[in-house]
Amino acid sequence: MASVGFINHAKLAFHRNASTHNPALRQERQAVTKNPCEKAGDAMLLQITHLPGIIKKLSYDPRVQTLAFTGLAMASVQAMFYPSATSSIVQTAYSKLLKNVSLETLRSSSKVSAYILSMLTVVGTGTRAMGRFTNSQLMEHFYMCHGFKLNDKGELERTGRR
Amino acid sequence: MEITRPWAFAFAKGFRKRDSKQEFLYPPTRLEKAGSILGSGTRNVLDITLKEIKNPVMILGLTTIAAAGVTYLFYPEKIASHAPIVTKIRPWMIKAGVYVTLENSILGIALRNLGRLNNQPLRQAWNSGKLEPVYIGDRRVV
Repeated sequence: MASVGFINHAKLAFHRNASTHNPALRQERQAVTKNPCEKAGDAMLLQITHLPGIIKKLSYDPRVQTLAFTGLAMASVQAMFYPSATSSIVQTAYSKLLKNVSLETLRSSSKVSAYILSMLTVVGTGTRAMGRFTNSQLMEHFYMCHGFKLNDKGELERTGRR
Repeated sequence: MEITRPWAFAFAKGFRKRDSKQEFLYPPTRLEKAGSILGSGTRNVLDITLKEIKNPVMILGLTTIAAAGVTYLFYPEKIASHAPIVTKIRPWMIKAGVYVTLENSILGIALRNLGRLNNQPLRQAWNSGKLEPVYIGDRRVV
């Protein structure tokens, strides 16, 4: 009798939203309650799970598109009619904004940002997985959705292929 | 927020009911009013010109303006003797005028569109397909 293997655990650990994974539960608008550990992991993974969606939603918003196209059109007209004034404004803004920023500073700050982002993702995934593996109700629901059932001894065993 | 046919919605002068062909009246938001005021100069001139382009008076007027322009190009001193103000016009003034007009129009259209997008009854009516746009130069209602 096959038991829950590594791949099933990995699916639970990396699943985008395991607490509403069960279609029956989702239909009833019920979800397995997340424990604090999973919630903390979710919070750390916001930049991976929510930020792309927010950016996509914003880019499809007609108000944002209106502002972007207006800015572009006005800047184009400005550059077309007064090219030298426009380039001097851009140069002044660039020199004032990046006055004290050297290439080395820029590179090191990019490295630190990438490091923090990577660490947040790794620690967030780990914390979320830890939270899920300590939530027996969630594990039971999740594995039952993946073709397992509880036997008489209270252990999960495979019922068939999904 | 979703909007169908966004370009038509943004550039329409006004809206008309698809079934009755009557003007669709709605209370404009303050942003839309501000945008309409900003772009009203260019819009009105273009609208009247396009509407009356087949009118003999309009044809005569445009021909006169074009003839005066050509005469000024070939014989500027003749025009200057009849209209001294022409000699005071410098190329940079024309350039600045065109620039201000263009920027004003772009800003006006943008503000008007933002105002329309914030107007829920208008947006709903537009998305339901009950309205059709009326563009600049359209001689029908609006």
